[in-house]
Amino acid sequence: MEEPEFFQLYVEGERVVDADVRLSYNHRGMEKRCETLTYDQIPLLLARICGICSASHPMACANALEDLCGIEAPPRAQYLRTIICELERIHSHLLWVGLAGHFIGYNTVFMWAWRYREPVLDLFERFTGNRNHYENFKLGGVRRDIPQEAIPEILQAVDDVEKPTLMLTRAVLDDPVLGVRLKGIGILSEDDARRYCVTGPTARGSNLPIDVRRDEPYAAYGWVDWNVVSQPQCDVFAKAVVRLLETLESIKIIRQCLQKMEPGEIDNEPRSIPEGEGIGHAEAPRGETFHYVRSDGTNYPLRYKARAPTFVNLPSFKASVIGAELADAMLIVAAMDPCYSCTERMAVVDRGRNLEGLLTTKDLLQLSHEKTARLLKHHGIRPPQWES
Amino acid sequence: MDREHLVRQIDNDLGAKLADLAKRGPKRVYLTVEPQHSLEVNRYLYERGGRLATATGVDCPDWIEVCYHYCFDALNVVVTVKARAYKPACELDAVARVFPGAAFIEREIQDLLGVKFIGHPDPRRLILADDWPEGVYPLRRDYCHETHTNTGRAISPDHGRARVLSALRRG
Amino acid sequence: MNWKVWGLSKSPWVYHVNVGACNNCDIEILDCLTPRFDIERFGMVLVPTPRHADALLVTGGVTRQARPRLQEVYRQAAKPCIVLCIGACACSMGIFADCYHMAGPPDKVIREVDPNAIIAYVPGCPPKPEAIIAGAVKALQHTVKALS
Repeated sequence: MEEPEFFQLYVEGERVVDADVRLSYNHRGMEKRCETLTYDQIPLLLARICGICSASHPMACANALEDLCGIEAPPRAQYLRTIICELERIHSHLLWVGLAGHFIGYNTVFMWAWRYREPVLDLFERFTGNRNHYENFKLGGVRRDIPQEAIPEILQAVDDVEKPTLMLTRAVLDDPVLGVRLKGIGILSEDDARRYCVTGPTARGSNLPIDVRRDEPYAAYGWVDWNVVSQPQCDVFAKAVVRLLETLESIKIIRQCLQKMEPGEIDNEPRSIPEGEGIGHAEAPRGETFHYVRSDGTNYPLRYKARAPTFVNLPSFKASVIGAELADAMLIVAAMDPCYSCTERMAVVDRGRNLEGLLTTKDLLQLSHEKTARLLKHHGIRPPQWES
Repeated sequence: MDREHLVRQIDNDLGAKLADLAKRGPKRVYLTVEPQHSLEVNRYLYERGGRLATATGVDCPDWIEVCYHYCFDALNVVVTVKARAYKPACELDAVARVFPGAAFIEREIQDLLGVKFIGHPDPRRLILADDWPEGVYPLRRDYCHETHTNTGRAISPDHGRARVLSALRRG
Repeated sequence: MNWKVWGLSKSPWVYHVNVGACNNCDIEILDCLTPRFDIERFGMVLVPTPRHADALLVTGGVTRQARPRLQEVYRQAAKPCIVLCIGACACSMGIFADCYHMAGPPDKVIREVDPNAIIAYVPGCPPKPEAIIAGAVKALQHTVKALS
């Protein structure tokens, strides 16, 4: 994936000694634009902060606006919101597994994982009108309902996703090469995770079990049984495990929501916005989305702040990549699951020899694949059957 | 410790330094501070386990209000510190001095609102383009959209509505 | 028919460049590679450098920071090169048209460098992989016909 980010890695020999990043390529100016949009229009704009968090930003927006107004959406709307958010988590984590596989050199994993996302995207298209950017969340509820007759179809699609996810999870946990390739690299210590204020699987894979869905339950998360998944090892492997096990929890949540959901209203249709302020957050696949709104009582916000999880997770790259081998740099970035795959361009500066060269994605991919091949050879392990 | 306890502690320990302490429901607390106390109050919350979710800069008539939002995940409460950076200098002590999680967001507020964070370890431009003019802060109320953007068109809150109405009038 | 046009018609190499997209169009483009859509049956290959590209897949409305980069990528691409604007933002900046950090839609930015650039548009937010493939195939067929 080609996201416009510019990383600068300073190396001595093969080891990274410092890292920097230049943002701005994706900055469009949405917060300012929100000041000239009505509260009904804002979720539609915010969905497009990021393609894969296109339910999470409108969810946080609805939470913030409902905090401002002091209201709650009706129960059926809360269940519908939860179902959409968890389906998004499933397809986002599968996407990540595919990309991670691609970076390591397991292209079959990439093809599989992305193929198994498709039924989820089909479901979205069927029930919200679009594979991505669902336009479903609003202040007070949701815009579209799911007919009761459709529930068996959704349950079937969820079953269809569960089997390959279980298979991928077992494959990752058992594969000797993945263990050797991913364990012990890109370590973000628990202390550093706290100091950088990271969230999501980046935090939960570094022994910080924080999750907005449990810490400040919104939608229907407080009404169903599920577990926060966290791992203590702090490395890239831990973050992969967190994402895979979370996908299985998401499946659990969706099944319970579909079971418990009763017919009813889906929109409270609030008619006025008071003066004041509101805060709303949601757990996106990448971490916490955090929104703040300040209102002067008119139909347009005085100020709207939307913070994506990658903005807080990205600086922690500095802590996790220093000391790592260049061949692992892409994987370490991927472990944060940035709202974009920021490996389009990395500039590598060799401090020792005072040389600067621009490495492309292809170069870094090659380095990563070469390392995988070396490890396979060194440990006398054959590549998995599905890769040959 | 529960959140009531936390709020009482904040009141006891910091009360004199707060211009205001407001509770908006059980999960939202807003503290207002004068600039000279901002660093101390931020440090207090961080050291008691607050996770800085982000900070919001708001352009107010006489100051820029920088709201630092701390989530106390285990207690289900968000405590916001509203620090006033008075115009025209708009200066605050950089919270990035205390922990690196504040570094990026302070750089962003510096770019978009022109607040100067004193002692920031890395005060470079973060979010605006290399060719964006110095001294132009897009999130300020007096920012002029026509002069600085590609469309050269004024954007006002009823921009969309006016466009639709004029199209309807044209028939 | 010269060899370049022949290449375009048989096995177009495409380079993907994101100049400020939310990533959804990028994901749908990558989706085209997966077995369900399988862009490779048309001989289309994603290449890692614009120098080898017959077509540029541009996503996103161009942000100010990305503008010089897009122009540089276009200059590097061997001509003739088709620019495919994928998605509403690439067609017209979409809902970001009035945001302060936008430099313009990709077609305007590229025409500053080459007023005769060949540009095709695939609208959608995001366009489905089927739409992207259909748009790419149509644009290539038109171009090959026009050039030969």
